[in-house]
Amino acid sequence: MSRLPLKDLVGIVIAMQIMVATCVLGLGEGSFVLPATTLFLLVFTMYFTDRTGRVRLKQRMADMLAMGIVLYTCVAALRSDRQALLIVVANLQCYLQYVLLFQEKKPRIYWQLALLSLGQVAIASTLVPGPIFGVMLLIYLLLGIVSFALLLQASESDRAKKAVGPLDAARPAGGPILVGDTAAVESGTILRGLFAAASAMCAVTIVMGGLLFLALPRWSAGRLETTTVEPLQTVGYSKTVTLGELGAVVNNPDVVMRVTFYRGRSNRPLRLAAEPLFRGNVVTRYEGHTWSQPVTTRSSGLPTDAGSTITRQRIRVEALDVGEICCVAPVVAIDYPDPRLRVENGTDQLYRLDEYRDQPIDIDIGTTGISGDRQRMFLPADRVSGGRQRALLQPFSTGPNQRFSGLTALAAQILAEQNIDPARDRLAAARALSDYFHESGEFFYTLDPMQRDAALDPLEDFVTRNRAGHCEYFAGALALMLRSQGIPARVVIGFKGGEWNSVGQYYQVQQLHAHSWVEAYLGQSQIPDGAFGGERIPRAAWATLDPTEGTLDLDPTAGGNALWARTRQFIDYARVLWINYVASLTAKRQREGIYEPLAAGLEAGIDNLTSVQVWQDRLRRFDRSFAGRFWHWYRRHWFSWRGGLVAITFSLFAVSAFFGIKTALEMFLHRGRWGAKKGADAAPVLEMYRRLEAALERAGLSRPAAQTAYEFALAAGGELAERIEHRRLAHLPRRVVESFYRVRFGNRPLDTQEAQAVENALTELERSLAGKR
Amino acid sequence: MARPRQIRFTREGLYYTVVFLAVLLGAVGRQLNLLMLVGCLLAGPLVFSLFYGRFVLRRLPVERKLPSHLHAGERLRVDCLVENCRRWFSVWAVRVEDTVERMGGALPESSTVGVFFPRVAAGQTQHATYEGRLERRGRYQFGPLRLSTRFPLGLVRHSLLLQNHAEMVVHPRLGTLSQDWVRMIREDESGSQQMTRRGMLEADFYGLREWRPGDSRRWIHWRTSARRGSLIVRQFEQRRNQNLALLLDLWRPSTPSDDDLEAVETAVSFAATLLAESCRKPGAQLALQLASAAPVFHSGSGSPLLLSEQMDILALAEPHDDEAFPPCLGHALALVPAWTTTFVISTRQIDWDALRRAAAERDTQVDARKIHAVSVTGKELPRYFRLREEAPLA
Repeated sequence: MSRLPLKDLVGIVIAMQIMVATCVLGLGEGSFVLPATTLFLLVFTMYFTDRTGRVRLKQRMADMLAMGIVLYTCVAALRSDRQALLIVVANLQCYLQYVLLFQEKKPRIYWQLALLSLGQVAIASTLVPGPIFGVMLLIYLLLGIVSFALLLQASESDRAKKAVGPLDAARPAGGPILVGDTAAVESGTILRGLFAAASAMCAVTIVMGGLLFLALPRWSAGRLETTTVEPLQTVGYSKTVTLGELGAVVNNPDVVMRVTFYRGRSNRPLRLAAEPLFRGNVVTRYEGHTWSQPVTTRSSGLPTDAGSTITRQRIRVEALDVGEICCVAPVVAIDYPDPRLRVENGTDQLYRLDEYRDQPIDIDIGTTGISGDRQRMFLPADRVSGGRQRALLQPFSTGPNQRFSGLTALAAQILAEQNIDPARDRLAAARALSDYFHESGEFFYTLDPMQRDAALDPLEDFVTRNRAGHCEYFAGALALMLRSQGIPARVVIGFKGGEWNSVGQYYQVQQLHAHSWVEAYLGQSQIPDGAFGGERIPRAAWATLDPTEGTLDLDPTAGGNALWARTRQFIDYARVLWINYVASLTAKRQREGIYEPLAAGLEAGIDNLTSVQVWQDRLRRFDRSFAGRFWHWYRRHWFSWRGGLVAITFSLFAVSAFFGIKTALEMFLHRGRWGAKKGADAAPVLEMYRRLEAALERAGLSRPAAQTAYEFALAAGGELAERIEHRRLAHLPRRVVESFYRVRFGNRPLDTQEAQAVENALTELERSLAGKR
Repeated sequence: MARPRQIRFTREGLYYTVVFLAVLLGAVGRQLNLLMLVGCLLAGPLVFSLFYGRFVLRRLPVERKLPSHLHAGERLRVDCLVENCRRWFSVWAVRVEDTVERMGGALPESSTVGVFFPRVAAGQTQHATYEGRLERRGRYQFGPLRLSTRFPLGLVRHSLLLQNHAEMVVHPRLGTLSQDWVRMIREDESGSQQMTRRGMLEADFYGLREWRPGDSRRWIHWRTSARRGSLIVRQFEQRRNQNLALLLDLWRPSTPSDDDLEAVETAVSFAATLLAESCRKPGAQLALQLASAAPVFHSGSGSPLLLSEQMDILALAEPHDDEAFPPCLGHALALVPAWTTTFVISTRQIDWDALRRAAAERDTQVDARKIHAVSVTGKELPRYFRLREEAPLA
């Protein structure tokens, strides 16, 4: 690598830079044709244009081609919409790059190539919203810095040599004719150093650019991302549940949303003691294996509830094919109702307006459903009566249903065994039936499809015969069992738990966390004391019941795969940070996440420095600390033999440590000039000096004892200058002796080029002076 | 007056800044976060470039090493040394520019040359050399030095003007004396030998050497020649009549043509070559009388120091336009010891009558037979002297 000429290296690094830009553009366009073509042309032109020069475009031809491409692009642009126009412009840049690649590479061409690739990156920034863009941008930045630092080195070297130019007529007659040069530095040293310097500069650039990026003012609420992405096909949000369908998609790891809970108005994240239930759709009607929603009820904006203790939930919902939003219910607005959101009356189901569907959305809402670090198991409700209550008893609204005779009998038997009258104590009955699924030991959770008796309803079959299934069977069965005993109930679809990300302190909810559970209706008289803490008892409530047997281990860092899980958490948190503070940084988030904490920190810092109280506390703490006690002891015993001895020992130790570390550092940093190497460097050059004396001796020039080596070299040079045939050798003795002095007395070794130059000088002297006297 | 410290955007830097501003303003205007990120990252190298140069050019002393002497037309090699006084940080892509200017000329004759230091490691000194040729004799000024860097990306050029000046007197161009000239001198010397009281040999025997064309047959050491089978001649040291007086008349018309100016330079070069050849023989008395805009007489015993002084005089000699024969030449003849080989070199035809008159007026001891006159505009000069070919610069 170090033997590559700088110009070749510049070409390679800029080619890599172009490739990165084209790849990120290809990602944005969703096509690999462009990167593949670019890669092919880069390799082709590096060999046939740059190395051998066989295929090379003349300037005029290149200009004409470029004009043609621009014209073609203009025509294409006229027929494009806005999104396609970006692609057209990006492609234009690629085509122009291709033309440039076939030209002779000069610094100007390299600059044009780099600017075009920068344009591609700029366009790609509107097409690739994900963190991959950030990674590619960093690589692009590093390559850009390295390539232009190398280009600068190469062009400055050329410039030094051409500074005055040839002996041209433009120079005034008799004026000085001068040609500069470049100091000899090993190219390997240059490359290593340049990569280090470029990396440092890249780091500085990232910090500087990052700060500037965060500080630049935002004034719009902003679209979260600059392009729409394909919405996810959801499970936990579906409005119908057809039994037997879930198994196919339930293990989908696609992230649906990320939820962070905050205690009150603080910014302290909160982890719940138990897995949270994110409530989504509510289905009440069961007919022909399918649970579904009845006709949509009325909706309203988010209520405000200033009287309750609110827990904030900040939810980032990915682009979905539905408008519903799963969250901990009941929801309330914080400060003011979010105009993008609505709540369906009756079901307390949160959803976004249609114009915000199919794109990621960030919402910040409150909930009264969390008390301390526990989610409440009761949801306040309006009284349900008449037709609505009958709907919640379907298919038992008109009495016992023969299709579910087994299920009804089992429910009645369970309650009878526990001596519970469902008409009097609905909650106890509901819990008894729910607990039966857990405690009987007869029901098993499985995602595998089960053979069901086609003659029976799947839920009847699940309860009476094949007692294995997933959450929908458990929830559906419990709902029907409750209904069979006259308790209105409904099935809720949503997500349970999610993966707690301990790095980012949030729940990451994936499709595989989709879950179903049951809500049983309770009248005001049946609501137990303490269900809503000290708050006002509502007129009715829904009791949350989760009959599903078995729970998933939701602590991903536990077990043997902890490292991988932790890594995933880091990656996911990085993604969240990217989304929150880069791709979707809005004015509000900038104010809350950057400006306000910064101002608060600054204020606290000033207080910390200027507050008398703080200083008094600090002094008090110092007094109590070991250092303070030592100070008090010292004030009483300022002179002590023992203390003096300790101080001297400590000082000696400190001095020794200082010099030891210093020496070790010097050995580490300057190991090229250290110890044995010095002798190793001096020996060859001493031999070189002996060869010089021997060569000059052959020409009748020997060093008198009184002359130093340098004086001898000057005298010998003078003698050689007097001889016409040796005049061209006159400067060589001095050159050799200067190198000899430098190594022998200056302790500065010769680098490869310098050593080679001395060797060449000696060879020339030996050859020319052989046999001359 | 150039400012000592300058920061300038290079052309590439200007383009870069325009692109950066366009991206950033577009991004901020449209509130496109990722484009804003691209714009902000573009700011990094620009800001870095603006400050890095200021840091780099500090504590970076530069030294220039000139050759001790130089003749016009010879190759000039100047070493530039840059020392990085820091303990930790290497310095990258530093360029040192030097200005070389001939002083006193009617037209400005200056050139700027640069040497490039790709890297100067912490605590080390790097050197780079620039070469060149100074075509005309005279006094040259080197400097000021300009230290500059465009690192890292070539967007901004930081430069620092160092008032590091040096002067060098470039001696006249040297030429080669022909064998005709050597023969003429020998004949002149042999003529004088007959008049010496010490007989045939006017100097102490020094050694033997091989015969060279132009050696007198009388110097042949026949016995040794017979023994070795080749001609061997005797060498002598310290010849009394190696004394030399040069009377240089640098006349030119008041409105000189290029030929006139060239004649002046040729005369100076011829004189310088004679002096250089004569000073190689230690002990010779050399006298130089210059009839120029500022007449000078300088004499002494042949030595490198004397040669250097007389070369300096010749280097700075300016022609005169006085039509009359310069009386200073007659004055010089009066000071020259007897038996001194005297050359009168002029850029015009020698006026022998005037010369003799001037010599007679001063009661000179010079034997008129030992006075040689050479006019550089005459036809005889190419027989004796030609300028050296210039070696091409690498």
